[in-house]
Amino acid sequence: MLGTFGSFGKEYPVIRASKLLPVLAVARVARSYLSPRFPPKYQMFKYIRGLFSRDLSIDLGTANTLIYVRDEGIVLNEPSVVAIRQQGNQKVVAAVGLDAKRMLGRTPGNITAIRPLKDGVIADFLVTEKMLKYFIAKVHENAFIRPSPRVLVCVPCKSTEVERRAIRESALSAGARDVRLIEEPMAAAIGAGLPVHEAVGTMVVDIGGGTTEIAVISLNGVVYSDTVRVGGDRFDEAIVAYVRRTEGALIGEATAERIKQEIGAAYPQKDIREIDVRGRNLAEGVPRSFVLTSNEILEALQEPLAMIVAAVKSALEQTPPELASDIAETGMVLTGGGALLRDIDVLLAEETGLPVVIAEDPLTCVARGGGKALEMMDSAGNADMLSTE
Amino acid sequence: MVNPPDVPAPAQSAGAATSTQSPGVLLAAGRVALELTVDEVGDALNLAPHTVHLLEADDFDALPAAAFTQGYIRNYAKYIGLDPDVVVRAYQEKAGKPAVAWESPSTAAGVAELIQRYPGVLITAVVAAVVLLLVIVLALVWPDDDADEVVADPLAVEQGAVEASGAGSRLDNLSETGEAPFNAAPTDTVTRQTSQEPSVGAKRSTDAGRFDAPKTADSGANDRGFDRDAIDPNDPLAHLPLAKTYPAGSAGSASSSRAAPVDNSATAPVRDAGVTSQSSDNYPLTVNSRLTPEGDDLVRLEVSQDCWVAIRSAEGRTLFAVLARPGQTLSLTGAGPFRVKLGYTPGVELFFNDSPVLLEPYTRNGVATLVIGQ
Repeated sequence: MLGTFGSFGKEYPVIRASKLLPVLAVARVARSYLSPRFPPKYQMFKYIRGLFSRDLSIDLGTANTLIYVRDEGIVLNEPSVVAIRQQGNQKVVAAVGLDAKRMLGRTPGNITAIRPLKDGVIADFLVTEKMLKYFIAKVHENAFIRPSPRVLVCVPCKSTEVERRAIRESALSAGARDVRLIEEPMAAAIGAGLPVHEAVGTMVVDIGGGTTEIAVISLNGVVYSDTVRVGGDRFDEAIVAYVRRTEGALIGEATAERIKQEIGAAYPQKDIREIDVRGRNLAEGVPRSFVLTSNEILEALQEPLAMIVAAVKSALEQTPPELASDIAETGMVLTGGGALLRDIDVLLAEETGLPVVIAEDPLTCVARGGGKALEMMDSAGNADMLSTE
Repeated sequence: MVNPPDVPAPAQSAGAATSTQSPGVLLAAGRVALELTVDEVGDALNLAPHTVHLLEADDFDALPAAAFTQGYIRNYAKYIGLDPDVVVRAYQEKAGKPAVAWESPSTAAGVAELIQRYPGVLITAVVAAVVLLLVIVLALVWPDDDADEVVADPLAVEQGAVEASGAGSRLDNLSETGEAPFNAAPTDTVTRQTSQEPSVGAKRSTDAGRFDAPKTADSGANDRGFDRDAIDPNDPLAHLPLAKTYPAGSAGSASSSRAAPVDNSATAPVRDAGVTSQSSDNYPLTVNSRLTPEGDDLVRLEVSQDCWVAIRSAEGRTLFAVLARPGQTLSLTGAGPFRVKLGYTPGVELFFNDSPVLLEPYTRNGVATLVIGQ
C-alpha cells in the first residue's frame, strides 16, 4: 500500500512558491527553537535529550567533584583534575578525574595536569567545561542518546556574579539543559539532615578543598554566611612548607595530602602517629627519607586551623542573638572533606565552647543536599527559596 | 570538650558486646563504669546536663534534630571509650531510621509516584503511544489505490496469462530462467474459478482482463488446458510487466468472454503483426491490445524514445501500463474516455482514432497528463 509512493501511477506534486510558505514558516520556527541563542529550556533537542537524562546535583569542588543522582545516590566522586596533552597547537584532554590525579606532578613536558577550580571557583573555564562534560557523560554511560540533564550546581557563598555565571555557562556548555545554583552551606545543611526549614538557627561549617564556608541558616534561608579561602589544599600547602622549613626537604602536594590523611590532626593526640616520608633534600639535591609525627603535622596546620577558628568565632559574633541562642544549645555541624581531619571537632568545641557534631558522611553532604534541594524545588513548584537565582 | 578519660576495660567491652541495647543504656553504663557524673560529661561535650539525661533516657523527641542527636551520641560514646559506630547503630535502630539519609521514594513506588518522579518517561510513553495509534489509523484509512493494479499480486497476472492463452508469456519466462513455475492449472479450471467466486488474486486478474491468445497451431490444445511445450518463447507481450489486455474482438461482456473460448480469428492479425517484427533488443515493435471489452476507440502511440505509458479508465482504474521502447507502436482499443499519462512526451506521438493529439498543452516537465475520448 505505502510501497507505491513514487511509482509511476501516482500524481507528482507540483511545488509552487505559495505552497512553500507554510514550510518556510515552520522551518523558521524550528530554527529559532534549535538556535543556541534561544533559552535552553525551549531548545527542542535539549528537551528531547532531557527526557532520557537524569537530574544531577553536582558538588563542583576544588579538590573533588561529586555527582548525586536522584534515587541513586552518589554516583561519581572523582578529583577535579584534568590532564591536558599538547598536540602541536592543539590541546587535547588526556585524562580526567582519578587518572588525571595520578599524573599530578608526574607529567612529561607535553602533558599538564591542572585543577581547573581554585578557591571554590572556576579558574579555567574551558577545562572546567571539558571536565563537566566528561563527568556528565560518565554518569550517563548507558544512555541511549547524548544526555542533557537538569543540573544543580553548588557554589560558594561569597562567589561573585561573574564566578557564578562562569559556572552556569560551563555547565550549559557541558550539555546541561537547565542549570540552577545553590549555595554550598545550604546544600551541606540539607545533606546533613538539619532542619533548615524550621525557625531555628543552625550553624554549618563546610570545610572543603579550597574554601571553608560558614553559614547560619534559618527558615530555608542563609542568615549569615562567610567564606574563608582555607581548606584542604591550604592544609597540604602548610605541610609542604613545614617539611621544607624543618626537614629541608621538598615534597609534592600528593605526598602532603597522604600525610594529612594518615597522621594529620587538629588537636593534640594521646597516641603519637608516625609516617615515613620521602622527599628531595634541598641541600643535597637527592631524595631522602625522614619520619614525621602527628604532633609535627598539628604544628604545621596551626595557621590554617587558626584561620578557620577565627572565621567561626567571627560568624558567632555576627549571628543575631536569637539564632545565637539556638546555636549555643544545638551546636554546629561540620561537613566537607576537612571535617575528616582528626579531632577538628574537638578543636572547634574547645575554642567556641559549643557542641560540635560531624555530619554523617561529611564528604558527600553537599552533593546529597543538592539532590534533596532539587527534589524540594520540584515538589514546591520550582520555588526559588533555595536557588541563588 | 576535653580529652577522653582513661577508659577501663569493662566500658569497651560493654560497648562492643551488644548493639541490641538502647543507646541510652549503653552510654549510661559506660559513664557509670568510668565513675563520671552527668555534669562532667556535659562539661566535656559542651552539652547541657539536661541533654545528657535525655540521651541516656532515649528521649529522642525532646532532643534536637536527628543529625544533632546522632552527633551527640557519637561524641558521648567516643568520650567514654565506647565504639561510636556500635552506639550510633543502636540509636538508628531505636529511632527507626537513619539520621541523615532521607527516605528514598523508591521504596514504595506507585504508578502516580513513578509518573511524578519520571515525567520524561511518561511523556515519551505518551508520545510513542500517540505515534503508534496514528500509524495504525493511517494504515487502516489509507486509500488502497493499488486494489486495481495488476501487479499487486504476481499470482493474479500469472493466472490471467494462463487463463488467456494456456501458454502465458510469464510462465514461459519462468521456465526459461529455471524458476519453478507456480501452479500450472489447466486454463478452463482457472476460468471457472474466476467466473464463479474468484479469490482475491483471481478477482484482480478477471478485473484486469487477460492477455491476447496468441494464434498458434495448437491453440485448440491450449483451450483445453495448459501445455508447457506450446509456450511461444517469442510471445510479444512477454516484456510487458504491467500489461493487461482483453481478447481482441470480444465485444461481449467480460463474463461471456471468459465463458466462451477466445476468438482466435479476431485476434490473429493483431498478434501476427506483433510477432512478425521484433527489435534487436527482442521486444515487439507492434503491440495491439484491448483496453476494455467494449468500444472501438483506438489509441495509437508511436514511440521514438523510452517512455512510460499509463492508461487509466475514467474511474482511475489502470487499464494499461508499460515502458514503451523506441520504435514500438502501441495500438490500444477500447471504450473511452481514457486518462493517459506519458512519462516522456518528446519520445512519443499520440493518435486518437488516427487523429494526432497535441501533447504540449498537457505537458509539464516532460510528463503529459490528459484525458482523451470524452
